[in-house]
Amino acid sequence: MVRQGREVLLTELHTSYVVKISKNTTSFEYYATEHFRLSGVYWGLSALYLLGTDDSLDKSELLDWVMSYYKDCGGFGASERNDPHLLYTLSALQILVMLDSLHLVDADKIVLYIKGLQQEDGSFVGDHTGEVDTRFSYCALASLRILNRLEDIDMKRAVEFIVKCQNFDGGYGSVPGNESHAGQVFTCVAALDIANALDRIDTDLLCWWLAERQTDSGGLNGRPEKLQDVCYSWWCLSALSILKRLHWIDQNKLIDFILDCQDEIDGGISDRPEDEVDVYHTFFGIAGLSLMGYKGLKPIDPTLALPCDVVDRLTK
Amino acid sequence: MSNECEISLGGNSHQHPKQRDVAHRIQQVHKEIFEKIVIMHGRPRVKDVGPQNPEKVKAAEKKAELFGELCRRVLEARQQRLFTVENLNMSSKLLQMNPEMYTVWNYRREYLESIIDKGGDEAVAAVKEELVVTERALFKNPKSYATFHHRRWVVSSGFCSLEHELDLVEKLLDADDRNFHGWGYRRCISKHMGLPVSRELEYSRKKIEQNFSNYSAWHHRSTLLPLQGKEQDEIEKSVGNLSSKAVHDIPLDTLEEEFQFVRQACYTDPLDQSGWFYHRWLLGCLGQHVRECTASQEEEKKTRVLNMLCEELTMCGEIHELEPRAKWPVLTAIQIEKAILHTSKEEEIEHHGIGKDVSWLVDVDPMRRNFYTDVAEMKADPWSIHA
Repeated sequence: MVRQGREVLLTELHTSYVVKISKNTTSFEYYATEHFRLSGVYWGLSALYLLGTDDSLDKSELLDWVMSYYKDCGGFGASERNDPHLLYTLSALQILVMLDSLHLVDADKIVLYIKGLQQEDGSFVGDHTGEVDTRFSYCALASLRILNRLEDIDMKRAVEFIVKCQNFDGGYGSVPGNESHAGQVFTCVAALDIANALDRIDTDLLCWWLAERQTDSGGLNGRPEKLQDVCYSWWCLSALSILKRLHWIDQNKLIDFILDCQDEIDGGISDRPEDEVDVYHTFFGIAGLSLMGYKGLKPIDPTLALPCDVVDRLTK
Repeated sequence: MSNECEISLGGNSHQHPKQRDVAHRIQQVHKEIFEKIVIMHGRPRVKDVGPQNPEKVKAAEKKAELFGELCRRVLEARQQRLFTVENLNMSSKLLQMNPEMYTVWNYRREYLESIIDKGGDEAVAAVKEELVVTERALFKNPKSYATFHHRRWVVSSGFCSLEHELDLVEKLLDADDRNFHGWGYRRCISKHMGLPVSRELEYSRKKIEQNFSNYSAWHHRSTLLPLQGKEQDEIEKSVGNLSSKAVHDIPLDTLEEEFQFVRQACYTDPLDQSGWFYHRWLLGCLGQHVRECTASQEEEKKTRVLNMLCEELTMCGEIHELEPRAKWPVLTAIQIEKAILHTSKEEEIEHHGIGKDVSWLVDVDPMRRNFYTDVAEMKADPWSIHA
């Protein structure tokens, strides 16, 4: 049951919400989220791109911003005051490719940076401090896919590491032995897709586990017995989509759940109905709707989390 | 001011007057700023009715300004590599509020690296202090990737007790038994300590007995069971090979014990997924024995496996009678019946089976109707007990 005023996707309101957020550079939230700002820019830009309203943002200003986060080593930091990290390097590349501006970066340099982060066992660290996580495997592979330089890392070992992270339930964790989590499932499945290694997945088992993330509310959770959350509309859905089992969840109920998470007064989407909205959930809610073919949205590629027409532009 | 919130900004006497003022102002509004910063999840939507309260607006601006100032000072110190006591103290406070500021952890790490490298009493003291800093950050924000990563690094220096880390993890998991950061950290520490598999199995049992719905503890158990009885170097090789496709040679005796253990979860709450997912995995392990049985001609083993399958089928039947609308016992029964069919013992199904098929599941669990249909039409087979 969708609350009054939220029965359809409120495109104009979400657009004005994202634009408003992008202009508010002295709020408490602005400082408190600086450590992932570049990802925030990617979420905002992508949301508007899918809505078809990305011209509402000043793209040259965005480009200046993004490029000011580019570090000497070839990686990007979350902001100009933050250290380089693989997470933000991917976000930067995703933004640049959406703005058709990959030529602004030195691909060789970035490739060298990413290559330097691969470990003996095939895993990737996020930066020189050495945190290992399958999220970083995804960031590395997706980045190299965008740059069309996948051959520059040890793909075989990268795959072997991800396979080691598979659990008893068919799902994936952040490192071998860690519990399955829908976010990690997305990163592992998408990474294996990029590596052409989907056959290493126990597809039926995993997709059944993912289907079981749908709760009575219609929303999806990230792990058994946890609360539903709009962001899992992306993490679970993209994996199901890549593995061609999107029909294993009730899409109508999920659509209603996402719509119900909208703020019909000020725009934006929240993690669950009646919570505070933010750009992250706004993007992932819209992305989930796009995957399910919601009318009026541009299609999104589940592996690279980029609009399909942008992915088509990439060198095959 | 409570102790928790108190800022020590270093010896005030040699502070520049302007710095003292900022420090003083931060302390004045500390109560508001030092609340845990919650972003993005679980914050109720609040709509102001009527015109904005100017006092409120001013207070919000002040809070933003001061927090911005704190960030500016710490991040500048980081960029200039200025490791004064005051800057380091401020960085510690900032991390308590906002622990995912990875650049600030990097700042502290750079400061510590040279001290730890030199070793001796100074290293021990520095490590001790850093453990306090990370512990404070953890108890305010137990789900921070950056904090755990930093602490792991500090602990890897070797200048502290790993037993203490286990205690810390126990406290964290007592507070939230589904904190996957905590569980991951526990696995990391216990590996460092070379803890026997039996100790970890015991811990997982304890957590499960506290709460059958603890999926994280059942998962932990699934990582340990294949390692039981193995030598250390075998453990090294086998970690991370738990895919359902990997062959598990878990002995029938062990499987029997585990079936008995998980039975309690299934009976206690038939609607809770956790025990049932673990149960499915056990059936998968049993499936390995089913495959071996049909390959060889060991009648005794065949009989034993069949009996075990029938026992589980009986359990499903009993729970189905207690909770007629619960899907898990029926879903499980259907899988077991498939496996029994494979051993060509249809009569056992008549005797023990529930007599429901996939169409019943569609009625009870309509959201996943397409999944059940695919299973019924043999387009999908997630359980492969009989493979």
